[in-house]
Amino acid sequence: MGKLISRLYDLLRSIKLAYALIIVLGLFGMLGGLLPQDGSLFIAPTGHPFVAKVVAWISPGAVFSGPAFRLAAALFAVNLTLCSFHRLAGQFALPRGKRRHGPDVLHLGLIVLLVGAAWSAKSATESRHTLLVGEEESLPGGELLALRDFSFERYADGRPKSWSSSIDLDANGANRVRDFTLKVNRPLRYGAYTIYQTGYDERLVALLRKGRLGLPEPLVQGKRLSGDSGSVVFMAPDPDSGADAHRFVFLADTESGRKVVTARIGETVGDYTLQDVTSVFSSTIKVRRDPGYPLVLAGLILVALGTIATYIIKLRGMRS
Amino acid sequence: MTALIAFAIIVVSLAVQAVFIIRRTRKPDPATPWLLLASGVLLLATTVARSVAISFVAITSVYESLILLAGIACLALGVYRLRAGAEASRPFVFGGTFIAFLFLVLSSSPLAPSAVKPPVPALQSAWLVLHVACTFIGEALFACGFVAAILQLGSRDPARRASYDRLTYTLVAIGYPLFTAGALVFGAIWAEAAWGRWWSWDPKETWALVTWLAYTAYLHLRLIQKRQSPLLPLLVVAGFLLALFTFLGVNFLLPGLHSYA
Repeated sequence: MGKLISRLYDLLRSIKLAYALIIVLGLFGMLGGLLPQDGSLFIAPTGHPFVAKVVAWISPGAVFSGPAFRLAAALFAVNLTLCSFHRLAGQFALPRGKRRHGPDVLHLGLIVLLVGAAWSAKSATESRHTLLVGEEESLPGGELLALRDFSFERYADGRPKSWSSSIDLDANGANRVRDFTLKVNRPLRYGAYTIYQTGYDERLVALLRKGRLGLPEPLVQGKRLSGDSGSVVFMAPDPDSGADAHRFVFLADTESGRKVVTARIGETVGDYTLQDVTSVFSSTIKVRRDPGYPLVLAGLILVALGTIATYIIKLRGMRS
Repeated sequence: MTALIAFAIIVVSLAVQAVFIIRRTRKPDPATPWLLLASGVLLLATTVARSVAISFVAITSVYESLILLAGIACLALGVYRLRAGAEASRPFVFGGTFIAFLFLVLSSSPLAPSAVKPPVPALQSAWLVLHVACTFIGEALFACGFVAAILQLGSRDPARRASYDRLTYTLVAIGYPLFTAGALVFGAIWAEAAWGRWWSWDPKETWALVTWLAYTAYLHLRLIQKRQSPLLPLLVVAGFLLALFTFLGVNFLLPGLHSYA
Protein backbone atom coordinates (compact mmCIF):
# COMPACT_ATOMS: atom_id res chain seq x y z
CA MET A 1 0.00 0.00 0.00
CA GLY A 2 2.81 2.33 1.00
CA LYS A 3 4.63 1.51 -2.24
CA LEU A 4 1.53 2.29 -4.27
CA ILE A 5 1.09 5.67 -2.57
CA SER A 6 4.78 6.39 -3.10
CA ARG A 7 4.46 5.53 -6.81
CA LEU A 8 1.35 7.65 -7.15
CA TYR A 9 3.12 10.54 -5.43
CA ASP A 10 6.12 10.18 -7.76
CA LEU A 11 3.82 10.14 -10.78
CA LEU A 12 1.81 13.15 -9.64
CA ARG A 13 4.90 15.25 -8.93
CA SER A 14 6.87 14.21 -12.02
CA ILE A 15 8.12 16.68 -14.63
CA LYS A 16 6.98 14.23 -17.32
CA LEU A 17 3.40 14.61 -16.13
CA ALA A 18 3.90 18.40 -15.99
CA TYR A 19 5.13 18.34 -19.59
CA ALA A 20 2.20 16.16 -20.73
CA LEU A 21 -0.31 18.42 -18.97
CA ILE A 22 1.25 21.57 -20.46
CA ILE A 23 0.79 20.04 -23.92
CA VAL A 24 -2.80 18.98 -23.12
CA LEU A 25 -3.68 22.45 -21.78
CA GLY A 26 -2.08 23.96 -24.90
CA LEU A 27 -4.24 21.75 -27.13
CA PHE A 28 -7.36 22.77 -25.19
CA GLY A 29 -6.26 26.39 -25.62
CA MET A 30 -5.92 25.92 -29.39
CA LEU A 31 -9.36 24.33 -29.59
CA GLY A 32 -10.98 27.05 -27.48
CA GLY A 33 -9.04 29.74 -29.33
CA LEU A 34 -10.29 28.58 -32.72
CA LEU A 35 -13.90 27.69 -31.97
CA PRO A 36 -16.41 30.32 -30.86
CA GLN A 37 -16.85 30.15 -27.09
CA ASP A 38 -19.89 32.41 -26.80
CA GLY A 39 -22.47 29.59 -26.79
CA SER A 40 -23.20 29.94 -30.52
CA LEU A 41 -21.54 26.62 -31.38
CA PHE A 42 -23.73 23.53 -31.11
CA ILE A 43 -22.55 20.09 -32.10
CA ALA A 44 -25.38 17.57 -32.34
CA PRO A 45 -24.57 14.27 -30.56
CA THR A 46 -24.32 11.94 -33.58
CA GLY A 47 -22.27 8.86 -34.42
CA HIS A 48 -20.94 6.32 -31.93
CA PRO A 49 -22.17 6.93 -28.35
CA PHE A 50 -18.57 6.89 -27.07
CA VAL A 51 -17.54 9.61 -29.54
CA ALA A 52 -20.61 11.64 -28.58
CA LYS A 53 -19.65 11.25 -24.90
CA VAL A 54 -16.06 12.38 -25.56
CA VAL A 55 -17.30 15.39 -27.53
CA ALA A 56 -19.71 16.29 -24.72
CA TRP A 57 -16.85 15.87 -22.21
CA ILE A 58 -14.59 18.23 -24.18
CA SER A 59 -17.50 20.69 -24.75
CA PRO A 60 -16.14 22.34 -27.96
CA GLY A 61 -18.50 25.32 -27.55
CA ALA A 62 -17.42 26.00 -23.97
CA VAL A 63 -13.99 24.38 -23.71
CA PHE A 64 -12.74 26.35 -20.70
CA SER A 65 -15.75 25.56 -18.54
CA GLY A 66 -16.03 21.96 -19.76
CA PRO A 67 -15.21 18.94 -17.55
CA ALA A 68 -12.18 17.84 -19.64
CA PHE A 69 -10.35 21.18 -19.36
CA ARG A 70 -11.23 21.48 -15.68
CA LEU A 71 -9.88 18.02 -14.98
CA ALA A 72 -6.65 18.80 -16.84
CA ALA A 73 -6.32 22.14 -14.98
CA ALA A 74 -7.00 20.45 -11.62
CA LEU A 75 -4.41 17.73 -12.35
CA PHE A 76 -1.95 20.44 -13.38
CA ALA A 77 -2.59 22.27 -10.10
CA VAL A 78 -1.96 19.06 -8.11
CA ASN A 79 1.21 18.31 -10.11
CA LEU A 80 2.45 21.88 -9.71
CA THR A 81 1.81 21.90 -5.96
CA LEU A 82 3.48 18.54 -5.30
CA CYS A 83 6.37 19.34 -7.63
CA SER A 84 6.88 22.72 -5.93
CA PHE A 85 6.92 21.29 -2.41
CA HIS A 86 9.23 18.48 -3.49
CA ARG A 87 11.60 20.92 -5.17
CA LEU A 88 11.52 23.32 -2.23
CA ALA A 89 12.37 20.51 0.20
CA GLY A 90 15.27 19.54 -2.10
CA GLN A 91 16.54 23.12 -2.18
CA PHE A 92 16.50 23.41 1.62
CA ALA A 93 18.63 20.27 1.78
CA LEU A 94 21.33 22.07 -0.23
CA PRO A 95 23.95 24.41 1.28
CA ARG A 96 22.72 28.01 1.43
CA GLY A 97 24.92 29.28 -1.42
CA LYS A 98 23.75 26.60 -3.85
CA ARG A 99 20.02 27.10 -3.41
CA ARG A 100 18.05 28.42 -6.41
CA HIS A 101 14.65 29.72 -5.40
CA GLY A 102 13.61 31.34 -8.70
CA PRO A 103 11.57 28.32 -9.86
CA ASP A 104 10.03 28.03 -6.36
CA VAL A 105 8.83 31.65 -6.52
CA LEU A 106 7.53 31.08 -10.07
CA HIS A 107 5.70 27.89 -9.08
CA LEU A 108 4.31 29.48 -5.91
CA GLY A 109 3.08 32.37 -8.06
CA LEU A 110 1.32 29.95 -10.40
CA ILE A 111 -0.33 28.16 -7.46
CA VAL A 112 -1.49 31.47 -5.95
CA LEU A 113 -2.71 32.53 -9.41
CA LEU A 114 -4.69 29.30 -9.89
CA VAL A 115 -6.28 29.60 -6.42
CA GLY A 116 -7.08 33.28 -7.08
CA ALA A 117 -8.50 32.46 -10.52
CA ALA A 118 -10.75 29.72 -9.09
CA TRP A 119 -11.92 32.03 -6.30
CA SER A 120 -12.45 34.86 -8.75
CA ALA A 121 -14.46 32.64 -11.13
CA LYS A 122 -16.63 31.41 -8.26
CA SER A 123 -17.27 34.60 -6.33
CA ALA A 124 -16.94 37.61 -8.66
CA THR A 125 -20.13 39.52 -9.34
CA GLU A 126 -20.75 42.43 -11.66
CA SER A 127 -23.55 44.70 -12.74
CA ARG A 128 -23.86 47.30 -15.48
CA HIS A 129 -25.56 50.65 -15.06
CA THR A 130 -26.49 52.96 -17.91
CA LEU A 131 -27.07 56.44 -16.53
CA LEU A 132 -27.92 59.85 -17.90
CA VAL A 133 -26.59 62.95 -16.16
CA GLY A 134 -28.53 63.45 -12.94
CA GLU A 135 -29.67 59.85 -12.69
CA GLU A 136 -28.74 57.47 -9.88
CA GLU A 137 -28.97 53.74 -9.31
CA SER A 138 -28.59 51.41 -6.34
CA LEU A 139 -25.69 48.99 -6.21
CA PRO A 140 -26.14 45.41 -4.97
CA GLY A 141 -24.87 46.40 -1.50
CA GLY A 142 -27.38 49.24 -1.16
CA GLU A 143 -24.94 52.05 -2.08
CA LEU A 144 -26.17 54.76 -4.42
CA LEU A 145 -24.25 55.55 -7.61
CA ALA A 146 -25.06 58.93 -9.18
CA LEU A 147 -23.84 60.43 -12.46
CA ARG A 148 -23.13 64.15 -11.97
CA ASP A 149 -21.64 64.87 -15.39
CA PHE A 150 -20.42 63.19 -18.54
CA SER A 151 -17.95 64.45 -21.11
CA PHE A 152 -16.98 63.05 -24.48
CA GLU A 153 -14.27 64.07 -26.95
CA ARG A 154 -13.50 62.87 -30.45
CA TYR A 155 -10.33 63.03 -32.55
CA ALA A 156 -10.53 64.88 -35.87
CA ASP A 157 -11.02 61.53 -37.66
CA GLY A 158 -14.13 60.77 -35.58
CA ARG A 159 -12.63 58.13 -33.29
CA PRO A 160 -13.28 58.57 -29.56
CA LYS A 161 -10.47 60.45 -27.78
CA SER A 162 -11.79 60.19 -24.26
CA TRP A 163 -14.96 59.86 -22.32
CA SER A 164 -15.38 60.31 -18.62
CA SER A 165 -18.07 60.36 -15.98
CA SER A 166 -18.13 62.45 -12.87
CA ILE A 167 -19.72 60.25 -10.21
CA ASP A 168 -20.86 60.33 -6.59
CA LEU A 169 -21.13 57.29 -4.37
CA ASP A 170 -23.33 57.38 -1.29
CA ALA A 171 -23.34 54.66 1.35
CA ASN A 172 -25.32 54.50 4.60
CA GLY A 173 -26.76 57.93 3.93
CA ALA A 174 -23.33 59.59 3.75
CA ASN A 175 -21.52 60.87 0.67
CA ARG A 176 -18.50 58.53 0.51
CA VAL A 177 -17.08 59.59 -2.84
CA ARG A 178 -17.79 62.96 -4.41
CA ASP A 179 -17.14 64.10 -7.96
CA PHE A 180 -14.74 61.29 -8.90
CA THR A 181 -13.69 61.42 -12.56
CA LEU A 182 -14.17 57.92 -13.86
CA LYS A 183 -12.32 57.13 -17.10
CA VAL A 184 -11.42 54.08 -19.15
CA ASN A 185 -8.23 52.76 -17.50
CA ARG A 186 -8.95 54.82 -14.37
CA PRO A 187 -11.42 52.83 -12.27
CA LEU A 188 -12.65 53.81 -8.82
CA ARG A 189 -11.78 51.30 -6.11
CA TYR A 190 -14.15 51.66 -3.20
CA GLY A 191 -14.30 48.98 -0.49
CA ALA A 192 -14.99 45.67 -2.17
CA TYR A 193 -16.13 47.35 -5.38
CA THR A 194 -14.23 48.44 -8.43
CA ILE A 195 -16.20 50.80 -10.65
CA TYR A 196 -15.26 51.04 -14.33
CA GLN A 197 -16.13 53.38 -17.15
CA THR A 198 -16.96 50.82 -19.82
CA GLY A 199 -19.03 52.52 -22.48
CA TYR A 200 -21.28 55.27 -23.68
CA ASP A 201 -24.28 55.61 -25.86
CA GLU A 202 -25.81 58.50 -27.73
CA ARG A 203 -29.53 58.64 -27.04
CA LEU A 204 -32.23 60.85 -28.55
CA VAL A 205 -34.16 63.31 -26.41
CA ALA A 206 -37.52 64.68 -27.55
CA LEU A 207 -38.56 68.07 -26.22
CA LEU A 208 -42.33 68.01 -25.67
CA ARG A 209 -44.46 71.02 -24.76
CA LYS A 210 -47.91 70.79 -23.24
CA GLY A 211 -50.22 73.44 -24.66
CA ARG A 212 -49.02 76.84 -25.88
CA LEU A 213 -47.70 78.09 -22.56
CA GLY A 214 -46.21 74.90 -21.17
CA LEU A 215 -42.49 74.55 -20.59
CA PRO A 216 -40.62 72.06 -22.82
CA GLU A 217 -40.09 68.75 -21.07
CA PRO A 218 -37.25 66.40 -22.13
CA LEU A 219 -38.14 62.79 -22.88
CA VAL A 220 -35.24 60.37 -23.42
CA GLN A 221 -35.69 57.59 -25.99
CA GLY A 222 -37.18 54.54 -24.29
CA LYS A 223 -38.56 56.51 -21.30
CA ARG A 224 -42.10 57.57 -20.36
CA LEU A 225 -43.45 61.07 -19.70
CA SER A 226 -46.60 61.01 -17.59
CA GLY A 227 -49.13 63.83 -17.36
CA ASP A 228 -52.61 64.37 -15.85
CA SER A 229 -54.48 62.82 -18.73
CA GLY A 230 -52.06 60.15 -19.97
CA SER A 231 -48.50 59.39 -20.85
CA VAL A 232 -46.11 59.30 -23.81
CA VAL A 233 -43.24 56.89 -24.49
CA PHE A 234 -40.54 58.00 -26.96
CA MET A 235 -39.86 54.83 -28.93
CA ALA A 236 -37.49 55.51 -31.86
CA PRO A 237 -36.86 57.49 -35.04
CA ASP A 238 -39.19 56.33 -37.80
CA PRO A 239 -37.01 54.11 -40.05
CA ASP A 240 -39.25 54.87 -43.04
CA SER A 241 -38.89 58.66 -42.85
CA GLY A 242 -36.69 60.31 -45.46
CA ALA A 243 -33.37 62.00 -44.74
CA ASP A 244 -34.89 65.49 -45.01
CA ALA A 245 -38.16 64.82 -43.16
CA HIS A 246 -37.37 63.17 -39.78
CA ARG A 247 -40.30 61.49 -38.13
CA PHE A 248 -40.29 59.93 -34.68
CA VAL A 249 -42.42 57.15 -33.23
CA PHE A 250 -44.20 57.54 -29.88
CA LEU A 251 -46.59 55.41 -27.88
CA ALA A 252 -49.31 57.65 -26.53
CA ASP A 253 -51.68 56.66 -23.73
CA THR A 254 -54.62 59.08 -23.69
CA GLU A 255 -58.22 58.96 -22.41
CA SER A 256 -59.28 57.67 -25.83
CA GLY A 257 -56.89 54.70 -25.56
CA ARG A 258 -53.37 53.65 -26.51
CA LYS A 259 -51.99 54.31 -29.98
CA VAL A 260 -48.70 54.52 -31.86
CA VAL A 261 -48.12 58.06 -33.12
CA THR A 262 -45.62 59.14 -35.77
CA ALA A 263 -44.74 62.83 -35.56
CA ARG A 264 -42.50 65.44 -37.16
CA ILE A 265 -41.23 68.49 -35.26
CA GLY A 266 -44.18 70.81 -34.65
CA GLU A 267 -46.76 68.02 -34.76
CA THR A 268 -48.90 66.70 -31.92
CA VAL A 269 -48.17 63.66 -29.76
CA GLY A 270 -51.07 62.96 -27.38
CA ASP A 271 -51.47 66.08 -25.25
CA TYR A 272 -48.05 67.39 -26.25
CA THR A 273 -46.41 69.12 -29.20
CA LEU A 274 -43.04 67.85 -30.42
CA GLN A 275 -40.83 70.93 -30.23
CA ASP A 276 -37.38 69.49 -30.99
CA VAL A 277 -35.27 66.33 -30.95
CA THR A 278 -31.67 66.44 -29.77
CA SER A 279 -29.22 63.84 -28.52
CA VAL A 280 -27.60 63.22 -25.17
CA PHE A 281 -24.86 60.85 -24.02
CA SER A 282 -25.51 58.10 -21.53
CA SER A 283 -22.66 56.56 -19.56
CA THR A 284 -22.29 52.82 -19.07
CA ILE A 285 -20.64 52.01 -15.77
CA LYS A 286 -19.62 48.54 -14.65
CA VAL A 287 -19.53 47.71 -10.96
CA ARG A 288 -17.51 44.62 -10.13
CA ARG A 289 -16.80 42.85 -6.89
CA ASP A 290 -13.96 40.34 -7.24
CA PRO A 291 -12.57 39.09 -3.91
CA GLY A 292 -10.16 36.78 -5.78
CA TYR A 293 -8.35 39.56 -7.67
CA PRO A 294 -5.84 40.56 -4.92
CA LEU A 295 -4.71 36.92 -4.88
CA VAL A 296 -4.52 36.88 -8.69
CA LEU A 297 -2.42 40.06 -8.61
CA ALA A 298 -0.08 38.60 -5.99
CA GLY A 299 0.23 35.45 -8.13
CA LEU A 300 1.01 37.47 -11.26
CA ILE A 301 3.73 39.47 -9.49
CA LEU A 302 5.30 36.27 -8.11
CA VAL A 303 5.19 34.65 -11.57
CA ALA A 304 6.97 37.65 -13.13
CA LEU A 305 9.61 37.85 -10.39
CA GLY A 306 10.11 34.07 -10.30
CA THR A 307 10.54 33.82 -14.09
CA ILE A 308 13.06 36.65 -14.18
CA ALA A 309 15.01 35.25 -11.18
CA THR A 310 15.05 31.73 -12.68
CA TYR A 311 16.47 32.70 -16.05
CA ILE A 312 18.86 35.40 -14.89
CA ILE A 313 20.53 32.79 -12.69
CA LYS A 314 20.46 30.14 -15.46
CA LEU A 315 21.98 32.53 -18.00
CA ARG A 316 24.66 33.60 -15.50
CA GLY A 317 25.42 29.92 -14.91
CA MET A 318 25.77 29.35 -18.66
CA ARG A 319 28.17 32.30 -19.04
CA SER A 320 30.37 31.18 -16.17
CA MET B 1 11.34 58.02 -43.87
CA THR B 2 13.60 56.58 -41.12
CA ALA B 3 11.86 53.21 -41.52
CA LEU B 4 12.55 53.32 -45.26
CA ILE B 5 16.26 54.06 -44.68
CA ALA B 6 16.39 51.23 -42.13
CA PHE B 7 14.79 48.91 -44.70
CA ALA B 8 17.42 49.89 -47.28
CA ILE B 9 20.22 49.27 -44.76
CA ILE B 10 18.79 45.82 -43.97
CA VAL B 11 18.74 44.99 -47.70
CA VAL B 12 22.39 46.10 -48.00
CA SER B 13 23.25 44.06 -44.89
CA LEU B 14 21.59 40.96 -46.38
CA ALA B 15 23.58 41.43 -49.60
CA VAL B 16 26.89 41.85 -47.72
CA GLN B 17 26.18 38.80 -45.56
CA ALA B 18 25.21 36.72 -48.62
CA VAL B 19 28.51 37.58 -50.34
CA PHE B 20 30.53 36.56 -47.27
CA ILE B 21 28.55 33.32 -46.85
CA ILE B 22 28.97 32.37 -50.53
CA ARG B 23 32.71 33.21 -50.54
CA ARG B 24 33.20 31.20 -47.31
CA THR B 25 35.88 33.62 -46.15
CA ARG B 26 37.17 32.98 -42.63
CA LYS B 27 37.34 36.66 -41.76
CA PRO B 28 34.01 38.03 -40.49
CA ASP B 29 32.63 40.94 -42.48
CA PRO B 30 33.13 44.14 -40.50
CA ALA B 31 30.06 45.97 -41.84
CA THR B 32 27.19 43.70 -40.73
CA PRO B 33 27.07 44.45 -36.99
CA TRP B 34 27.10 48.21 -37.63
CA LEU B 35 24.53 47.95 -40.41
CA LEU B 36 22.25 45.94 -38.11
CA LEU B 37 22.73 48.33 -35.20
CA ALA B 38 22.10 51.33 -37.46
CA SER B 39 18.86 49.86 -38.83
CA GLY B 40 17.76 48.90 -35.30
CA VAL B 41 18.40 52.43 -34.03
CA LEU B 42 16.61 53.95 -37.04
CA LEU B 43 13.58 51.71 -36.50
CA LEU B 44 13.42 52.68 -32.83
CA ALA B 45 13.80 56.32 -33.93
CA THR B 46 10.69 55.78 -36.09
CA THR B 47 8.83 54.68 -32.97
CA VAL B 48 10.10 57.72 -31.07
CA ALA B 49 9.11 60.12 -33.88
CA ARG B 50 5.61 58.64 -34.10
CA SER B 51 5.33 58.76 -30.30
CA VAL B 52 6.15 62.47 -30.30
CA ALA B 53 3.51 63.05 -33.01
CA ILE B 54 0.72 61.38 -31.01
CA SER B 55 2.00 62.26 -27.51
CA PHE B 56 1.88 58.60 -26.54
CA VAL B 57 4.16 55.61 -26.98
CA ALA B 58 3.52 54.54 -30.58
CA ILE B 59 3.18 50.79 -30.21
CA THR B 60 -0.56 50.39 -30.61
CA SER B 61 -1.01 49.45 -34.27
CA VAL B 62 0.13 46.45 -36.34
CA TYR B 63 2.54 48.70 -38.30
CA GLU B 64 4.12 50.09 -35.13
CA SER B 65 4.39 46.61 -33.62
CA LEU B 66 6.14 45.27 -36.74
CA ILE B 67 8.59 48.20 -36.70
CA LEU B 68 9.35 47.49 -33.03
CA LEU B 69 9.77 43.76 -33.70
CA ALA B 70 12.17 44.38 -36.61
CA GLY B 71 14.09 47.02 -34.64
CA ILE B 72 14.60 44.80 -31.58
CA ALA B 73 15.59 41.82 -33.78
CA CYS B 74 18.19 43.98 -35.60
CA LEU B 75 19.62 45.29 -32.33
CA ALA B 76 19.75 41.78 -30.81
CA LEU B 77 21.51 40.42 -33.91
CA GLY B 78 23.93 43.37 -34.03
CA VAL B 79 24.86 42.94 -30.36
CA TYR B 80 25.27 39.16 -30.83
CA ARG B 81 27.47 39.69 -33.88
CA LEU B 82 29.66 42.25 -32.05
CA ARG B 83 30.03 40.11 -28.95
CA ALA B 84 30.59 36.79 -30.72
CA GLY B 85 32.97 38.27 -33.32
CA ALA B 86 34.51 35.57 -35.52
CA GLU B 87 32.64 32.90 -33.54
CA ALA B 88 29.25 34.26 -34.62
CA SER B 89 27.12 31.97 -36.75
CA ARG B 90 26.74 33.56 -40.18
CA PRO B 91 23.64 31.57 -41.19
CA PHE B 92 22.01 32.58 -37.89
CA VAL B 93 22.69 36.30 -38.38
CA PHE B 94 21.59 36.06 -42.02
CA GLY B 95 18.38 34.20 -41.06
CA GLY B 96 17.60 36.69 -38.29
CA THR B 97 18.20 39.64 -40.62
CA PHE B 98 15.92 38.01 -43.19
CA ILE B 99 13.16 37.69 -40.56
CA ALA B 100 13.57 41.42 -39.72
CA PHE B 101 13.40 42.13 -43.47
CA LEU B 102 10.13 40.10 -43.68
CA PHE B 103 8.65 42.06 -40.75
CA LEU B 104 9.40 45.29 -42.62
CA VAL B 105 7.96 43.93 -45.88
CA LEU B 106 4.81 43.05 -43.96
CA SER B 107 4.73 46.51 -42.37
CA SER B 108 4.53 48.05 -45.85
CA SER B 109 1.60 45.83 -46.89
CA PRO B 110 -2.07 46.90 -46.75
CA LEU B 111 -2.47 44.63 -43.72
CA ALA B 112 -0.54 47.20 -41.67
CA PRO B 113 -1.73 50.75 -42.38
CA SER B 114 1.01 53.20 -41.45
CA ALA B 115 -1.17 56.24 -40.70
CA VAL B 116 -0.15 57.93 -37.45
CA LYS B 117 -3.16 57.71 -35.17
CA PRO B 118 -3.41 58.59 -31.48
CA PRO B 119 -4.79 55.77 -29.31
CA VAL B 120 -8.44 55.24 -28.36
CA PRO B 121 -9.20 55.50 -24.61
CA ALA B 122 -8.78 51.77 -23.87
CA LEU B 123 -5.16 51.97 -25.06
CA GLN B 124 -4.21 55.07 -23.08
CA SER B 125 -2.47 53.26 -20.24
CA ALA B 126 1.07 52.83 -18.92
CA TRP B 127 0.25 49.14 -18.38
CA LEU B 128 -0.43 48.82 -22.11
CA VAL B 129 3.00 50.25 -22.90
CA LEU B 130 4.66 47.71 -20.60
CA HIS B 131 2.41 44.93 -21.93
CA VAL B 132 3.17 45.58 -25.61
CA ALA B 133 6.85 46.55 -25.22
CA CYS B 134 7.81 43.50 -23.12
CA THR B 135 5.74 41.15 -25.30
CA PHE B 136 7.34 42.32 -28.54
CA ILE B 137 10.88 42.39 -27.16
CA GLY B 138 10.26 38.79 -26.04
CA GLU B 139 8.80 37.87 -29.45
CA ALA B 140 11.74 39.47 -31.31
CA LEU B 141 14.06 37.19 -29.32
CA PHE B 142 11.75 34.24 -30.05
CA ALA B 143 12.08 35.13 -33.77
CA CYS B 144 15.89 34.87 -33.47
CA GLY B 145 15.42 31.66 -31.46
CA PHE B 146 13.26 30.32 -34.30
CA VAL B 147 16.13 30.84 -36.76
CA ALA B 148 18.61 29.14 -34.40
CA ALA B 149 16.17 26.23 -33.89
CA ILE B 150 15.76 25.74 -37.67
CA LEU B 151 19.56 25.72 -38.06
CA GLN B 152 19.75 23.24 -35.19
CA LEU B 153 17.25 20.98 -36.95
CA GLY B 154 19.11 21.23 -40.26
CA SER B 155 22.59 20.71 -38.83
CA ARG B 156 24.25 17.26 -39.02
CA ASP B 157 27.45 18.12 -37.16
CA PRO B 158 26.88 17.34 -33.42
CA ALA B 159 29.19 20.17 -32.28
CA ARG B 160 27.38 22.69 -34.45
CA ARG B 161 24.01 21.32 -33.32
CA ALA B 162 25.08 21.72 -29.69
CA SER B 163 26.18 25.28 -30.43
CA TYR B 164 22.80 26.10 -32.03
CA ASP B 165 21.02 24.41 -29.11
CA ARG B 166 22.88 26.70 -26.72
CA LEU B 167 22.00 29.73 -28.83
CA THR B 168 18.33 28.72 -29.07
CA TYR B 169 18.14 28.16 -25.33
CA THR B 170 19.85 31.48 -24.54
CA LEU B 171 17.42 33.40 -26.75
CA VAL B 172 14.37 31.62 -25.31
CA ALA B 173 15.70 32.04 -21.76
CA ILE B 174 15.94 35.83 -22.28
CA GLY B 175 12.70 36.11 -24.26
CA TYR B 176 10.56 33.91 -22.01
CA PRO B 177 10.63 36.09 -18.84
CA LEU B 178 9.96 39.19 -20.98
CA PHE B 179 7.09 37.49 -22.79
CA THR B 180 5.69 36.16 -19.49
CA ALA B 181 5.81 39.59 -17.89
CA GLY B 182 4.51 41.38 -20.99
CA ALA B 183 1.87 39.13 -22.49
CA LEU B 184 0.49 37.53 -19.35
CA VAL B 185 1.30 39.61 -16.26
CA PHE B 186 1.11 43.22 -17.54
CA GLY B 187 -1.61 42.18 -19.98
CA ALA B 188 -3.79 40.85 -17.16
CA ILE B 189 -3.18 43.94 -15.00
CA TRP B 190 -4.06 46.25 -17.92
CA ALA B 191 -7.16 44.21 -18.81
CA GLU B 192 -8.37 44.46 -15.22
CA ALA B 193 -7.99 48.26 -15.23
CA ALA B 194 -9.42 48.79 -18.72
CA TRP B 195 -12.17 46.20 -19.06
CA GLY B 196 -12.78 45.15 -15.48
CA ARG B 197 -11.71 41.55 -16.09
CA TRP B 198 -8.15 40.33 -15.81
CA TRP B 199 -8.84 37.33 -18.04
CA SER B 200 -11.69 36.94 -20.56
CA TRP B 201 -10.62 33.93 -22.70
CA ASP B 202 -10.52 36.41 -25.58
CA PRO B 203 -8.86 34.76 -28.67
CA LYS B 204 -5.71 36.93 -28.33
CA GLU B 205 -5.36 36.06 -24.64
CA THR B 206 -5.98 32.39 -25.30
CA TRP B 207 -3.43 32.20 -28.12
CA ALA B 208 -0.87 34.16 -26.07
CA LEU B 209 -1.36 31.54 -23.35
CA VAL B 210 -0.91 28.74 -25.92
CA THR B 211 2.34 30.40 -27.10
CA TRP B 212 3.53 30.68 -23.51
CA LEU B 213 2.65 27.02 -22.90
CA ALA B 214 4.68 25.99 -26.00
CA TYR B 215 7.81 27.72 -24.65
CA THR B 216 7.05 26.43 -21.13
CA ALA B 217 6.88 22.92 -22.61
CA TYR B 218 10.26 23.51 -24.30
CA LEU B 219 11.89 24.64 -21.06
CA HIS B 220 10.46 21.65 -19.16
CA LEU B 221 11.37 19.20 -21.91
CA ARG B 222 15.00 20.31 -21.61
CA LEU B 223 14.93 18.98 -18.04
CA ILE B 224 13.83 15.48 -19.11
CA GLN B 225 15.15 15.04 -22.70
CA LYS B 226 18.62 14.78 -24.11
CA ARG B 227 19.87 17.91 -25.88
CA GLN B 228 20.06 16.01 -29.20
CA SER B 229 16.31 15.43 -29.27
CA PRO B 230 14.77 17.09 -32.36
CA LEU B 231 11.64 17.70 -30.31
CA LEU B 232 13.38 20.60 -28.52
CA PRO B 233 14.02 22.81 -31.60
CA LEU B 234 10.66 21.70 -33.03
CA LEU B 235 8.91 23.14 -29.97
CA VAL B 236 10.76 26.45 -30.44
CA VAL B 237 9.74 26.53 -34.12
CA ALA B 238 6.12 25.76 -33.12
CA GLY B 239 6.31 28.40 -30.36
CA PHE B 240 7.31 31.14 -32.80
CA LEU B 241 4.66 30.10 -35.34
CA LEU B 242 2.11 30.28 -32.51
CA ALA B 243 3.45 33.72 -31.53
CA LEU B 244 3.03 34.86 -35.15
CA PHE B 245 -0.51 33.49 -35.24
CA THR B 246 -1.28 35.24 -31.94
CA PHE B 247 0.03 38.51 -33.35
CA LEU B 248 -1.27 38.45 -36.93
CA GLY B 249 -3.61 35.47 -37.39
CA VAL B 250 -5.86 36.34 -34.47
CA ASN B 251 -6.09 39.98 -35.63
CA PHE B 252 -7.32 39.09 -39.08
CA LEU B 253 -9.21 35.85 -38.47
CA LEU B 254 -10.68 35.85 -34.97
CA PRO B 255 -12.68 38.82 -33.65
CA GLY B 256 -12.22 39.78 -30.02
CA LEU B 257 -11.34 42.47 -27.50
CA HIS B 258 -7.91 43.00 -29.14
CA SER B 259 -9.35 43.93 -32.55
CA TYR B 260 -7.23 47.13 -32.65
CA ALA B 261 -3.92 45.38 -31.79
